[in-house]
Amino acid sequence: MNINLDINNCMIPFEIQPAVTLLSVLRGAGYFGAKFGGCKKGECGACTVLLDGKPVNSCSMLAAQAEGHKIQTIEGIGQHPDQGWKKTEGLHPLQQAFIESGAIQCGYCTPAMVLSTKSLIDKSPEPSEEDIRDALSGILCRCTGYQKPVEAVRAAAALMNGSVTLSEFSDDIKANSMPQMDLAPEAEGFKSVGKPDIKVDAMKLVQGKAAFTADIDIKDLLVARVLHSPVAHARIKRIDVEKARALPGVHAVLTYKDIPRVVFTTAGQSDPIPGPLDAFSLDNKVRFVGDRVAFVAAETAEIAAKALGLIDVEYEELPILLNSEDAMKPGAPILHDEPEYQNFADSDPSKNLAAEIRIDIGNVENGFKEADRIFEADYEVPKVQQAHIEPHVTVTYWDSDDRLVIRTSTQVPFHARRQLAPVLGLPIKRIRVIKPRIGGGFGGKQEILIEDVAAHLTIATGKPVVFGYSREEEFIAARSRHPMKIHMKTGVKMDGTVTANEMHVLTDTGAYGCHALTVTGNTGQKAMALYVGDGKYRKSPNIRFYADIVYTNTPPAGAYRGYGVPQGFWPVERQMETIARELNLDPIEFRLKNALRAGELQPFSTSWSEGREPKPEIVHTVGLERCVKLGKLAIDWEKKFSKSEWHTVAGKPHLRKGIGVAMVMQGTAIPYLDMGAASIKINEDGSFNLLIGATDLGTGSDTVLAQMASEVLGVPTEDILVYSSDTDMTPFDKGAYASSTTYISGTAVTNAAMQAAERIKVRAAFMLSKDERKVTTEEIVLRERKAFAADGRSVTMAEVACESLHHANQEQIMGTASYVSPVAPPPFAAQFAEVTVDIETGKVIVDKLVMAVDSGVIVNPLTASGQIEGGMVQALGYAVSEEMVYDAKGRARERDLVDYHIFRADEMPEMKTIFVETYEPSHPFGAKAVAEIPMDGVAPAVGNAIQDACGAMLYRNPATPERVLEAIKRRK
Amino acid sequence: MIIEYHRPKDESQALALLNRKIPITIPLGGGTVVSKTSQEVAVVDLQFLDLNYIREENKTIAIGSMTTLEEMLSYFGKESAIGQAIVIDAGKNIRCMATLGGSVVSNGGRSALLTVLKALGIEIVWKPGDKVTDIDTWLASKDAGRFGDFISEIRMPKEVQVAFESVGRSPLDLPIICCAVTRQPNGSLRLALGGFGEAPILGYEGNAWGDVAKSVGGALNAAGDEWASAEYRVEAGTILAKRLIEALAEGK
Ligand SMILES: Cc1cc2nc3c(=O)[nH]c(=O)nc-3n(C[C@H](O)[C@H](O)[C@H](O)COP(=O)(O)OP(=O)(O)OC[C@H]3O[C@@H](n4cnc5c(N)ncnc54)[C@H](O)[C@@H]3O)c2cc1C
Ligand code: FES
Ligand code: FES
Repeated sequence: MNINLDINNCMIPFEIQPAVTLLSVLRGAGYFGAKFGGCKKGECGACTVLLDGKPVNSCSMLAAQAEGHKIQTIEGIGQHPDQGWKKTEGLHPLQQAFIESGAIQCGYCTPAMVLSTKSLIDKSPEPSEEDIRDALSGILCRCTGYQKPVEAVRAAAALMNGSVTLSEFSDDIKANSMPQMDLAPEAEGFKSVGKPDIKVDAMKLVQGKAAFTADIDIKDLLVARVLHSPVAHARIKRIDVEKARALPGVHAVLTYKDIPRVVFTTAGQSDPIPGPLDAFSLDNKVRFVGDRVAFVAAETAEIAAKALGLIDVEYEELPILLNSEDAMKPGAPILHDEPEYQNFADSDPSKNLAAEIRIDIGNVENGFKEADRIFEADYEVPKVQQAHIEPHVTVTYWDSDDRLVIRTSTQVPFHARRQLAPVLGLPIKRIRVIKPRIGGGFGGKQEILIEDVAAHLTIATGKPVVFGYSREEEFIAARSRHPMKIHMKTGVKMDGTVTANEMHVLTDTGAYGCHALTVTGNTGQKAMALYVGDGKYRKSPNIRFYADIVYTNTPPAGAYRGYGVPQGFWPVERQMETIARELNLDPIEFRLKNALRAGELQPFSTSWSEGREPKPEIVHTVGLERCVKLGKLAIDWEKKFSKSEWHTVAGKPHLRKGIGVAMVMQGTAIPYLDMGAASIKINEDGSFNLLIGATDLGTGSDTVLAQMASEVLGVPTEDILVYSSDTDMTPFDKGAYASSTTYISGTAVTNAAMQAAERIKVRAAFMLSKDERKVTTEEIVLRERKAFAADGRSVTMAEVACESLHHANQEQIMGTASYVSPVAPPPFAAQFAEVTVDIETGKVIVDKLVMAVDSGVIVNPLTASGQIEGGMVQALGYAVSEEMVYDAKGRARERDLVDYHIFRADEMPEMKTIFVETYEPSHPFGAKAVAEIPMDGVAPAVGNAIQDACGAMLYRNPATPERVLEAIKRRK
Repeated sequence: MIIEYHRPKDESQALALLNRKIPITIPLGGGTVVSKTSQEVAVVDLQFLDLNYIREENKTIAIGSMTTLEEMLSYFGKESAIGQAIVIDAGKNIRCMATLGGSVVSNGGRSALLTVLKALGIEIVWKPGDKVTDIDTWLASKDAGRFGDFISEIRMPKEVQVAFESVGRSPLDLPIICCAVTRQPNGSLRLALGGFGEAPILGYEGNAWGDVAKSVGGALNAAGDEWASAEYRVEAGTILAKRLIEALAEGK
């Protein structure tokens, strides 16, 4: 049928099929600002456009419905103000406010947010916070926690309605978006580091530019689909694909019979992979509902879907194993009986054991003997999903040199290239991995999850192929946080000294052992390292950490922000709370009495290092006490904790209020392993190209790396042009994980910039010496885009660049450096939560979250606080709502973002972030990690607050109403 | 998959299309459900039929079936029982698209809005002929044997008190259990329970306020599913019912 659509005031004719959605038409016509979240129900709102001024999901309406209505897309809202000789009206104030307030992280939801709130402001020039949150309620953001977007809208509205002037606008935004800062004096002199610079990619993201993997139009692009197993454990007895292959429009159907059988792992990690190799692109056996059975490439998604329906599979069903407790019992079904299986360390597929950890520090049994009381309890943490709004997506094609290009939304482009090479039968040099912007990853994209599907199909067909997961596939066939069952045993003296602490973990890795060893290792290495004990135990703590990581017929777990540590802090912090209350100790004093202090050994550093050789490591900076102090003030702890009148709600006898705390630590990179590299070169105008392999997945790492370069080079951040993650173009980086980018890649960038700075200084000294006197390199200072001699004379960066590139002794001023760290300095935090519990129904409302964090020097307070806010909200889901549940046949209960509820903008608790800076001596600017620690403390702090409110002892998160009510009854 | 799209200009054109046996032809409201269908159907978009209105009549409020949930929200307000339920069911975007007619047809037992509509005892008016079905009859049979018609209007009583409460995992999560109660000026109650199953159920109807708790408990006896046990729903549902009735008694 033919329709005419009024898009951004242009009438455009389209010839379409009636079933086509508005989103497909828009993206097909190049309006890539409307994104796709893979939704079947229309739950994420990333595809928002305005229809007659109202926000609608363009994926949830037919294009034909939109005829006769005015459609506005982000492309019609605002544009770069300066386009060479053409000046434009520039960005819309909302877009400017989103940029300046730090409201953009991955930016996948940003166009939707801008459009939706534009619709609000157009109608209500003075919106309340409630109005703004309501306007955002149809758009799920997994990165920001909505705080900064709300602030951006408030500020833009204020500018537009005249309550602030243009000159007040930026200050107004900063005043309200910045976190509370407790600054490290050592960092005072920095010019760029520590400043709330705007994100280097914000301009393109706020305009909805074609920045993401799928935002590309390639001729003859085929669409891939995967046939997923409907059964949890079976051998494929027969598979007939002839009908599917015969379907017009189908270009390839691949089964295990068609491609080489190469064992690998989808976990993107450094070589050698610290885990078993137990997966194949396609196998003759399926191990979970959602496992791969066949790949199809067709001319359209509809044809591909139809082809999947034509594949005839006969399964020989095998007994299934769903409960991790049964995995190692004699007679349990064995998941991995393939001869190609490659063990790592103690993995043993004949026992369904993917990995095993046994760590004893000190003398634990003695420690228990020395205790006055022993506390033991069993805890459980659920499987949860990263739920990045941009699903996994990959485009593959052969380039003109017959090299395979993999354009993919990945956190690990270099690992992807290395790990895929044998799987595809290509040498590494014939693969190029390009990482465009990533619409969130949170660890889910530290997995080489779907790249092989598209690549095999490109190899099979010779054609470009796009493969993107639907939201349902994200739930049934992507990775998740490892669920664990944990037994804790703690010995304590009556004065509150912890004498020994023991944790036994049973981890369910699902059907494949991705990150099996390392995730669980971190559960112990971080969560069990915080409380070493007091007195003599400080020097010689008694800690035991044993773990079995077993296979089950459920979707594999993998990396997820926090990487095992949130799983560990739930039991540790619930246990500490219980002990404090049982012994009548102040829960905060009790924790601080036993917590690790500066100058002490990270107790695990002598015994475990991600499957590699451990080396002792002193922790130099611990801001935990100050975090507690400032956090307590912010949440008004003294007025609430143990004050009975505060715990009740007037006129509502069924409600109880509670307050809780949790203290946590993370790590910063993997010592002696994680390597990042950077190269930097000067341009004629004194700007620099910074090439990095580091992978900004929305965290703002490109920006903080640019800030560090700018600090060294004495130019503003906007003069650093960052290009990241292209295996052909940028130096190696292990990728975005282990909270390492600011620390590891940042040091590499700093070192590269220092090399360039050195050459600039040499040349500037020479240039300045020409006039009156001999200027030395040592006296040159780089600042304000200039090189200054001690007497105040200067040459501009552009003059130095031009001189070096064109005029004399020509050279490319550049620097290249890499860095690997001998230490992994932990960030620390105190997390506070305030809740209201309905003691008759078990319903829990989290009212307030305060997090005070020691992440060393904060390179960019705006992006860093965005990380904390977004992380706290993800962790809030872990606390109260998120979990993945399977029925008796291994079928998932959660298949979309309606059932798997993630918090909306209009139901958020109040949140506050405080940065307590310490100056970490091992980093050039004193920084430690920020990104993962917000995941760790919210669930236990909420659990502890629930206990404070009503005495309910929760051993399992999330705190669903039924669990809370049961716990209340147990207490009775 | 949608194989034909039509946008009739009036009722008779719409009915002519809907009366075709081949291809199967269904009404299209906001399209939030229909646009995702995998069935081969033709759709009849009702947007030109002037079914987008909210009118207060004598003792009823009449709402055109193409009225969006957002329009209903601004009419009733966020604090109202209907408003609270709409906000739980959908965020802004879906509210701007989804219609009341589409919701009455497609929402299930976990819908807060449908639970409130059930407690209100709404009447569903169908074209052709302005046939009226009550919500209980509709939810019991849903579209069994339905053909060639569409909903033009929903009617609800104007002078009733309504109260609603929901328990979910977060403030705006889908209900695990929710309860809506209406009280007629003569004091008679009608109580609906939702958060599970194919459709909200009637928990109580009548004047004997003292019997409500028992009746609710009975109604929820078998309401266990993968989201909550029946025991939990009995306990929490009974509490919600008591609370709401007390609130209505106090005139809140
Ligand atoms: C994010 C999200 C959250 C949701 N949450 C919930 C929820 O919590 N609970 C819940 O139950 N549902 C929920 N839904 C589904 C919800 O029911 C629908 O989105 C919406 O209410 C349907 O309205 P519509 O106008 O878009 O219907 P359409 O898609 O247009 O139609 C839906 C059905 O109704 C029929 N229909 C439409 N209008 C008429 C009419 N006038 N006469 C006769 N038949 C008609 C159609 O033929 C079709 O069968 C959710 C949906 C989304 C996207
Ligand atoms: S709602 Fe349209 S893509 Fe998610
Ligand atoms: S910034 Fe909102 S989803 Fe990433």
